[in-house]
Amino acid sequence: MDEIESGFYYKDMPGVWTALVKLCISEKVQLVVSTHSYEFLKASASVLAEETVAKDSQLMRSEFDAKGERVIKKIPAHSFESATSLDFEVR
Amino acid sequence: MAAPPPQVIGRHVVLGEGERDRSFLEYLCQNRQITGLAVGYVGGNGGFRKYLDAMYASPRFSECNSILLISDSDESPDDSFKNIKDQLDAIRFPSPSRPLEMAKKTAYPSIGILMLPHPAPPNDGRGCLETLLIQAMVSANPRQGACVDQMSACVGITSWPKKNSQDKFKVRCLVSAVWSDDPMYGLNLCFSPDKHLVPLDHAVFNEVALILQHFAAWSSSNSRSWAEWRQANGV
Repeated sequence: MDEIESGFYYKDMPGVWTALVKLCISEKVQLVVSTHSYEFLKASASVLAEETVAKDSQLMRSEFDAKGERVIKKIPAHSFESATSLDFEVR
Repeated sequence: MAAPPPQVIGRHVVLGEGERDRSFLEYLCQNRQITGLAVGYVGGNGGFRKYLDAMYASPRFSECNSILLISDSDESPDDSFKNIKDQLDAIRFPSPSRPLEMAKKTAYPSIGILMLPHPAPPNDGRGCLETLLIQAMVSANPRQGACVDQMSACVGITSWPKKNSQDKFKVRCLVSAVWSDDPMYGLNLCFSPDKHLVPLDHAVFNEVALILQHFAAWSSSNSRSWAEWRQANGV
């Protein structure tokens, strides 16, 4: 789902994420979302780092490696949450 | 609520525990003309795990070649070192087996740990940044130093169980005794050369400065320990 945050009030985002995660677990569905929104990432990180879902969640970021080739870096949920809780840039 | 520590990243990063450590390290580098280090702090000796874990998520993480973690030995150098090592192990970062040893792992920056005070006084490795500061501050302000010694004796701080508390008491008193304009002046503001409170060219800081000066070269070499690198390079 692209730009999933569109149309949601930012304060509602953690609640939206909690509901989405519950739905994914109950329906056994994998959810892949893309965004440029830091507020949305911050809201998702705290929900995804919870013990029950952390191992099934990660941030994937497209970046260039040392050879200049495009790669996808996979960032564990705990690392994602540590970064956003310190307001570090992850995009 | 305190603001989170700022994001710092570069080829060679130095991370202290708190803001006063960062301030000390930045002014020491300035005083000794040491360049090429990005200096930050993690918000206390329990903050290394979270800060490094957060660095891993940065888009610039791969730019970072090495990180020096600087922490107080407090009441037990071994326990304080283990506290940091456990934090590194928890997030699977390279984890040195002893202070001033370089740990390396593919796709991660090299990691070294420096415990303060360094060098540790003979037979007693306990202490903190303030343990080093006292010597330099007293040398610059001997009259106030003598007064603080008298006050320490009067208060009976030698009976205080924590060496850290004793040393922090002396530094706090020295700052207050010297800086009459604002006796509550924060330690992190005291390192500026125009304050004349902490002479950063004092010999007590030479060993720390030497490590900072050569950290980039040491971390890029094959020398496992600082002592080994130093011997190999005649420093």
